[in-house]
Amino acid sequence: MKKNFLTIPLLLLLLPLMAVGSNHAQFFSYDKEAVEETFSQLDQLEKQIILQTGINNESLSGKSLMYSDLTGINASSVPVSPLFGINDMDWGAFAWGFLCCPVGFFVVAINKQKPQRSKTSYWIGVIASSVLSAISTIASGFASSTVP
Amino acid sequence: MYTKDFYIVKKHLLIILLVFLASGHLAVAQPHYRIQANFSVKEVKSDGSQSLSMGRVFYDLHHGKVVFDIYYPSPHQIVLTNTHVYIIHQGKVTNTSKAPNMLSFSIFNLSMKGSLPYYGLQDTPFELQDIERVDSMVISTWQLPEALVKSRSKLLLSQVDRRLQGLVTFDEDGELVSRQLFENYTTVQGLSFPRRVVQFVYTADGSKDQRITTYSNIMVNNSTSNENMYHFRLPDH
Repeated sequence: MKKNFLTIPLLLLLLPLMAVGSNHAQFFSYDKEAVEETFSQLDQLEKQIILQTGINNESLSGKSLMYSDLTGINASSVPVSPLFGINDMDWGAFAWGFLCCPVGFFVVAINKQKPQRSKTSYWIGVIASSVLSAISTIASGFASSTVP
Repeated sequence: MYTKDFYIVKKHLLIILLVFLASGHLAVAQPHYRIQANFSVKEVKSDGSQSLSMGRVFYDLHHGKVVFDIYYPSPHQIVLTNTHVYIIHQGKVTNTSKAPNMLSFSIFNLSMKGSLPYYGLQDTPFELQDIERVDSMVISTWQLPEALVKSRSKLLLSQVDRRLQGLVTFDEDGELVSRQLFENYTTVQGLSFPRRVVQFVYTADGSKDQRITTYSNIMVNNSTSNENMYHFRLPDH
């Protein structure tokens, strides 16, 4: 693998010196008109299905329609999202919440590109940090009040 | 001249600015981890038979399953893991077959890991043997080391504008096995992905099967819906 990492840049450097033209190029072209002709019936069928089912790109984009509807499984028996477990934890997001929640708020909590599990992990980190902070505060207060 | 409060406000504003800059930088640098798309697979076999499948596909990099949720010709799911392919009808696994590394070399996994331009071959025992340029196309030849296998088996890989354009496979006798052409690239949230893959599979008798796979409505890092598909749980089997 290391060899490939060295070989690729080296060969790319030498590329302009190499002969232009190759019989390999033929493998990367095809008769597009012939292919379109071959697939014309299937293209028509695909269009008909989209028309008949009303399923198109737009209707699929925001809808979660497939799994429970089409497999015949009662929707109520299928959780919309799995329960949050230790395996679902995004430890990076947790660290943001636990160690630096003000920054994590921008990086994770209100970041639309972050998945729900990251946001949940972030808030778990915030809560864990708050709980530990409260415990340590109470404990130190208790300790200072008992010192003679 | 300036009051102490002015310096405190200035300091706070600077901290807020740095936080915003840091969050913006991290958001831009965020890697791709999810992809979904509508797809159709059209196939015309050498005997003249034709088939069409339509549905949606989901892949979460961390969850390690490609889920094909098919609605035509019949509702069912095909789940691809790095070891097996599962076919699921009405919530039950009806077929299981071994498919080692198929997930790793799926177009979804390769594109999200940034390995699609070389089809992930840099991370395999295949070694780069030759590279040549034809107009705007760069063709590289990849073979297994002779120490491992003494055959004429090889892969030809072509790139245009640093994007994978084609992959050609030859068997150990040097016979052409398949050609895949990756076309109509689109870029979604910085992820480059082909919207059409044309494949020709050649048989020993010289005939060929043809397949066209198209992808549309490609969404990257979507976290607003379809969690049950991204975190698909295989039924007990």
